Amino acid sequence: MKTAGPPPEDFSNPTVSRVLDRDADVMEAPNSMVLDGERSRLGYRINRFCFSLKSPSNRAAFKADMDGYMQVQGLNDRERALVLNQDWLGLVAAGASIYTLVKLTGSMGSNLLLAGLKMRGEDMEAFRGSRPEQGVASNPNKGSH
Amino acid sequence: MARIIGGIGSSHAPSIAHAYDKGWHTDPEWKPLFDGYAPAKQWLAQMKPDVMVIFYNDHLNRFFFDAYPTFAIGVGARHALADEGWGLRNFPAFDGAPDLAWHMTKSLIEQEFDITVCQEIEIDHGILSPLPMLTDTHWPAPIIPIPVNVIQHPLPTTRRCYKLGQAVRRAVESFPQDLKVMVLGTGGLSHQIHGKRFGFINPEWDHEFMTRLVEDPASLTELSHDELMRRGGVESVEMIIWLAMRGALSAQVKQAHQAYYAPSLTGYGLLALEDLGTH
Repeated sequence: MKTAGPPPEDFSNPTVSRVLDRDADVMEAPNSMVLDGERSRLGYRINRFCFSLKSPSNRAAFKADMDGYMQVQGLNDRERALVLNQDWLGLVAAGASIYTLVKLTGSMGSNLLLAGLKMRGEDMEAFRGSRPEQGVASNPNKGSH
Repeated sequence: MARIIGGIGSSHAPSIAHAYDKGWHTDPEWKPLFDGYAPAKQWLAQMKPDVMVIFYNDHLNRFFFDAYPTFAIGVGARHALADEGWGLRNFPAFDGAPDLAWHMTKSLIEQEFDITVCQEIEIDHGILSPLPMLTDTHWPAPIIPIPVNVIQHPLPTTRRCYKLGQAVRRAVESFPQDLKVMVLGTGGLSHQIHGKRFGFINPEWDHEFMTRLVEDPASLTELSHDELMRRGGVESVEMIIWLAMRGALSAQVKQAHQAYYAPSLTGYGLLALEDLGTH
């Protein structure tokens, strides 16, 4: 597998909180992530797992045994739980890039728009009402980004 | 001598590809997007470029964080398409332009842009979303892809991207063969696709950005990444790629076409600019 290698560093929850506080300050919005070096180190393991899903055979292996596949990829208990719960905010907080997460959504029966609604804590109708021009967002089946 | 004949700025959201592949050309929700591209498509056909140099960003498809280049260039004779995690699109691979690409590489490095040189590269939606909207299912000219890191900070500064464009212009103009080169820059416009701010768009800023890009691009090079992210959302920082495209054009340009549509998760922007042949 292209992404095989030594296990990345593990990081603990306090690191997440500290980075998030800094980002909230920069972005004036909660849960906004600027993927800098610290964050990319934190999320390396998850991002590497998601990146592996570029390969059709890896996608099949993941779908056949999600937890087992993630164990082989070296994800810890907390990271595997975040994925299995489709906890997108938690994954972002743990350093996952949205660009690797979109490789995961398809293998889990989700898509970017559905993941986004969950992150916003909003239903489709409320989200649609927030758009300056109506339309596309009304249909979740049309919801890549 | 090779010369730059114009530039195109375009969004590259995967939804553009999705709408194209589903054939939603007349779907009421999507028709405005397709209508927006139609005049630019016609303009591009009339311009008949021999080569297209495309600034874009790779969304963790060719590159991963094990080794993520700040700037790279595809110098191969063919560029494969990437499976981004949901299968390949039904399009042919791209032809490359190795002679010009290697010449540009040498020139860029002599100009102190120490760019990563890729004999193999996989093209993702950074190019493959807008290209069919502008050319349909066949590619009218070979491409030279130039991916820019807009994903893992620290990113190249806005000014550095603009200067890269200027260096690319000098590189093209020092190539002895008589070629017409079209420059594209893809990304944005305003959008944030993670966190509680998911779905953030700022049409007012998008319009201001496109106007200033045409008339006074140097003023945009002063903007920090934080300022861009505040105005347009975290992922909108990829708008710096449009500055690379603009940097490759003449100081004064003629705007051939502009379109904008913001129905969903991003402001779909489109600019077609004719080069006026002066620095």
